Amino acid sequence: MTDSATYRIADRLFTVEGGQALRLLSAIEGFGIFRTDTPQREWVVRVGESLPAAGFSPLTDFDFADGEAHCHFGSIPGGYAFFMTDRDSGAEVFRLHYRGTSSADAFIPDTSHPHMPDFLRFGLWMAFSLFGAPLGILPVHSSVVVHKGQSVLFLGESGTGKSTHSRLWLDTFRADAVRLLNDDSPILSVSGPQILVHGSPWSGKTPCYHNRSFPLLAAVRLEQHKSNIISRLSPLEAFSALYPSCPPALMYDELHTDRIVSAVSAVVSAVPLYRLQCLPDADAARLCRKTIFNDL
Amino acid sequence: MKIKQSCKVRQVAGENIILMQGRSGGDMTRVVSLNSTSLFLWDRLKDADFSAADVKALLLEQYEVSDEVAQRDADRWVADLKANGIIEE
Repeated sequence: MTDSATYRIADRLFTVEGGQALRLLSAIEGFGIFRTDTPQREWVVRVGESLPAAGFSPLTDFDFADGEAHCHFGSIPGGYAFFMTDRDSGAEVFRLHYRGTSSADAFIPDTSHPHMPDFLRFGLWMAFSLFGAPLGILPVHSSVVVHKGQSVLFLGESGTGKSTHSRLWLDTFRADAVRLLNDDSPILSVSGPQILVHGSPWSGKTPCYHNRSFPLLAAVRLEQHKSNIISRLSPLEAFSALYPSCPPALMYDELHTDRIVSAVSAVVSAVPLYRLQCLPDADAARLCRKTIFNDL
Repeated sequence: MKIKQSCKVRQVAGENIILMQGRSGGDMTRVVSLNSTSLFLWDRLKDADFSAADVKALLLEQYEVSDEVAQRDADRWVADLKANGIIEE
């Protein structure tokens, strides 16, 4: 009997197999509340004792978070490979091979690496992104609040103030039960009759993990500005506002680009997107809420 | 000059666009929208090795414009696509 743990994330069953990985995972905040004891399997990441590299054609590479590692993504025969190398030693610290649509293999060469929990967490995020992409299930780099049973995504480049704007909503509309669903990487699903935003175990620096989902009401791209101005985006502007917030590693090959374009197109034809040029103040939150919910 | 083979025109929200992915990290995508004239040039030149003079000739052939306007538009089209990394020498 293989050690395994199954998590229900964005209404999908995501299983991690392998004792070492599970010991690491048990120390990573955020996954616990997504745990389910169903024996069913849907997407499985098997973390094994080895995983030989073979036939890798790079698609893109990028720094991980604060740069403790470098990330490499590319194709391999029959699928894709993602691996991370230590910034200083260049040694491989995590490897994932995704082949087919329901399983992936992973390998953790050095489970005692000081940043390993973060590396594993990110590696599983990549795995989830790969499993989800064919089905229109995508992590979106955003902060998301829930109000009146619906969710609003705040988009923007790192450092724009997505988290700050969410916090302004929580503070300004304290009496109206505004809640934070996720602060970095909620999951958008475009597969069903309505577009849903799901909480996830990936929430950046904010420990905000909720196993809930809510219909998407609107998305807002934030830009820092000297005053508060909000405008509704045209369909093409809306596309351009949301597309860059999808997993960047998946934008370097035609298959994934097609999938993301199709999911983003479905979103922008179903819900309004706005640009909010704003100060980090309560008035920005009021203007935004008033425009989106047409109230106050 | 040539249009990069990796560039693909996609239909999004009723527009014809090209997605240009930056080198690394998030938020690096550039969305280039083609109007009907630009799309006409694209379709005719996507597999060709061409010069600005070829672009001008196509514009003169397809549209009733003066030599001067065709020259200006051809130069602008080439410059815009070059600036967005879509055309290579």
